[in-house]
Amino acid sequence: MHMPAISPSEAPILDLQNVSAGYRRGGLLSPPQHPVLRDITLSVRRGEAMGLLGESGSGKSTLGRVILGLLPALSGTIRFDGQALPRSTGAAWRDLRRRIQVVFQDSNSTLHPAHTILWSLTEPMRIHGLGTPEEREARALAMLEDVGLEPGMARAMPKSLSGGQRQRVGIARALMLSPELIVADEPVSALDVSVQAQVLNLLKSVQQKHGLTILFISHDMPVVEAFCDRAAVMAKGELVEIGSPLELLRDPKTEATRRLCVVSN
Amino acid sequence: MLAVQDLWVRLKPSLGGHPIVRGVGLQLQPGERIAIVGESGSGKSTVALALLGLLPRDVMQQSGSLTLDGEDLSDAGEDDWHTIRGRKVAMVFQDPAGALNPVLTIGEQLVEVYRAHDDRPRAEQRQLAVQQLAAMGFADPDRIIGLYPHQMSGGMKQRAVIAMATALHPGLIVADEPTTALDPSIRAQILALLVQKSEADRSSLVLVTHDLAETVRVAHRIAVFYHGRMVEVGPAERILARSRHPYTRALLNARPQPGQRAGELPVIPGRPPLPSEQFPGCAFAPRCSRAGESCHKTLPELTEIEPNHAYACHFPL
Repeated sequence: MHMPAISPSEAPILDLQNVSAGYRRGGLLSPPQHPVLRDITLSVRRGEAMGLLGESGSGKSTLGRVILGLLPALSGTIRFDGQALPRSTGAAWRDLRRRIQVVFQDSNSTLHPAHTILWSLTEPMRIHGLGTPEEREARALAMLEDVGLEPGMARAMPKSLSGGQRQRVGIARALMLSPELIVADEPVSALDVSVQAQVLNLLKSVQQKHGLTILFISHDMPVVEAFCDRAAVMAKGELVEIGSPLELLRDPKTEATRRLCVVSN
Repeated sequence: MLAVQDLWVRLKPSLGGHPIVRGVGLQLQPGERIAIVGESGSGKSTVALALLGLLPRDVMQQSGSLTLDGEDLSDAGEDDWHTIRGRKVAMVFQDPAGALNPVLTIGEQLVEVYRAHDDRPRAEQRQLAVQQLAAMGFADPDRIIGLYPHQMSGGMKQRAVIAMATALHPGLIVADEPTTALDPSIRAQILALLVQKSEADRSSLVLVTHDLAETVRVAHRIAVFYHGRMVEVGPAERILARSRHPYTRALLNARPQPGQRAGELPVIPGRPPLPSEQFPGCAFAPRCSRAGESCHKTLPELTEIEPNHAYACHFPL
């Protein structure tokens, strides 16, 4: 089995115990009518690439939102680096937001269309009140280099970038605050096939260089198999199977996993 | 039978005038199924729109010839296409929700298709609709006929779209990324349904897709597009097993194989070119490990070098 260059230490960086979540209809006192996540228990080690596999509606992206603090859990506990994540999404999250970052399927949504790439890259540091303008720019240029883009790209506008370049910028932006955990939600799904491998290789090298833990949300078994050390399969809001991706591929124990494997021929 | 000759599609001069489709030819026998494979900017979806008479005329100009069952459609106007679409050519797109009317039931929409093209009694049209839904693999067509699109899953909606598209037994079905918006496990079913319809009606099928792997179950022939041109075309098994164009091979190898690790995945450098970019030679040459001097200077013509297998490459594999 493949071992990552940075061996995951035993203490989990992220630990979910019996987490349920859902979207309430009506007032705060009304019960959640449709729990989207039920009783999720999952432990992610520091330095690990953990896949979160599932079809649409399986709850995998909702789980990502809960871990990012964008949707409060209804019950259960989530610990990040030993500390319980606050239920509220307010000020208590400020420090955590720095340590947990996100890469979306299409990074266009994180790039301001009327500003340069440099502006969007330095935005997280400005929001967190970190550094002088010179320090922020220096950090942005260093991160551009880490994702394999020319420094000149800093002055470019988002619309002049190709899909692959935009996704590299999205990764660079997620790195700006030196996070420990990155939630990557379908990071290569929107890219052309001939560009996907470039971005997967890049994300892996960035993970190793910065010692990141990555939660890799995807419906794409071959991609998860290539990127992740372990993967959890979700179906109908529950976590149904967990193992090394190759084990899941070769010996799926649940129907949900089998369905995800079928397509990869 | 479908015959396309030297099809060019260009943006209007006021928008830059650059070509999106660059001299494509295609012949399809009744019942024959071809997959058009390409990435963004390859022109594959523009070809599909041209086959459906759906090119936005205010933005694009088309030249070359297009005939369907002996009828020359090269200069067909919007009114002509209105009667051709549905009856002779059917379309299935990526997003089934966009093709369905949200405020009408599936039955009402399907009956509407029959009513637009003949004047049978309504009860008979409804009966046809039920039969057509049954033929789409719906176990309970009498219930499905009363459902609204929002009551159906993505896969069910795409089945309903195919039911409507093929209701009048058109001779040509054009399906543009019909499975891309669907869950992986549903995709094979939808492709199987398209194959089944094409076999039942002896209709030709053009499947436009970015996924070379999904063409296996569907197509007799595969045509690979790059920068607006067909760069390789041949029998499906042959393209998958013994492709000669380096781009086709690169596409086949682009998906991670079991056991390959991120960080060490083989990569194709660069990105697919934009239609506005110009290349004196082969458009793939800047990304191609086999490219020699001639590749950057002279455009390789698409040439049939082995029987039924043509490719445009100076240094084929």
